[in-house]
Amino acid sequence: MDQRTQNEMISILPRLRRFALGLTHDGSAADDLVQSACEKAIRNIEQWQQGTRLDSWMFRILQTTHIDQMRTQKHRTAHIEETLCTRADSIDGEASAMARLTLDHVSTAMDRLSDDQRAVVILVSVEGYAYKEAADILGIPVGTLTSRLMRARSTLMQSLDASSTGNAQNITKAMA
Amino acid sequence: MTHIDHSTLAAYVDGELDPELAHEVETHLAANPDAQDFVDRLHTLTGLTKMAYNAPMHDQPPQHLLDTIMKADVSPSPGAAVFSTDLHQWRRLVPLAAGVAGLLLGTFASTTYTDYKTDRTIRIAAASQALDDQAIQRTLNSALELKISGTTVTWNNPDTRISAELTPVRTFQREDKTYCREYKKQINRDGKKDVSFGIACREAKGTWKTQYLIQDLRTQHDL
Repeated sequence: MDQRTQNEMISILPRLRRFALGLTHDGSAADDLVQSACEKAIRNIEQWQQGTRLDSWMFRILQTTHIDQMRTQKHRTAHIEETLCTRADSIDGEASAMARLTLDHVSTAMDRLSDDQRAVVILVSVEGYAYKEAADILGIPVGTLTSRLMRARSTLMQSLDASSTGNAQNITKAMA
Repeated sequence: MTHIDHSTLAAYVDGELDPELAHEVETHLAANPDAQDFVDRLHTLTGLTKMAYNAPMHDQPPQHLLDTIMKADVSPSPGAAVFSTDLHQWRRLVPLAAGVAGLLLGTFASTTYTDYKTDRTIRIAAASQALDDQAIQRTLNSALELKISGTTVTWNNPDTRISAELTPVRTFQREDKTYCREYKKQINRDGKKDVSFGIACREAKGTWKTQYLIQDLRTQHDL
């Protein structure tokens, strides 16, 4: 591995942790997953083709590592930690509370999705991957990806509508 | 004319359509408020989902992960300048997206030509801005309700790198005995500060409503 690749890997690290957190719901499990994926990537760095995207390649390794781990652990106890939304609280807790509330609703709704659906939402909505790239990372056809995405989004919208205190609607209005 | 269903609208929001189909969708949206509403909701959802998963982008990755990568055998890049190994390099990359979104917002707002992919970025950024505006408004309300004059309350959002300083300046009573307060509001955004002065009066249940707001144009300069 050359210096440039090493630097790029470090710069991808926060995004790998974010994807892993989305897959596992659990901060420490996420970092274990990232650790395994990085080790695997470094071991097999010759398989990565220079000129192709290192991030997509590492995301795919992370995804397959996760599936392998899921197969070995039949029952995973989900420890949902307060790792999401640890945005710096302002001095005034009340002021950010409403904004936090909306984001908390999103996090909770995301946690309720199936692992497959959450992975799709994170790759497309959070990471901004094109459908084709996201489908390649997950090793599924684009059609499967789009139908999972559709189901996930309609579930998210429903749970946000149900739990909304009007904040999300206000945002929609503000954007219109 | 293509049949435009929800999955086409979703593909539109995700920037997956070619310009022709995107244009068709835009024509469809102009005539169909329900479809427009669906698209707006998807933009909002995308923006909120992004924000909900932002924490790992601000945290320092644990040392053992950095070590795993740093300890790998490194050969010099052939024919390439070797970057200095900076563990904090990722920090500089993070605010880039927000910065780009902000830039686009400023540049494209006045043009009639809509590159829909740009529009998508702007709309996702708008969800974030609307959340910031609401939070700043609530901070202001709380400062006016609870803080003595001269006390500055600060607010910041590390994701968008927008911060606010809110200071009640003076308290007085109107003829009808309603309490009103002058305040100073400073918003720091993209290295610039916007200062404005306002007067807000207290309504029922501790809600402060701004009656006058004057922007101090002299203070709009680089920090």
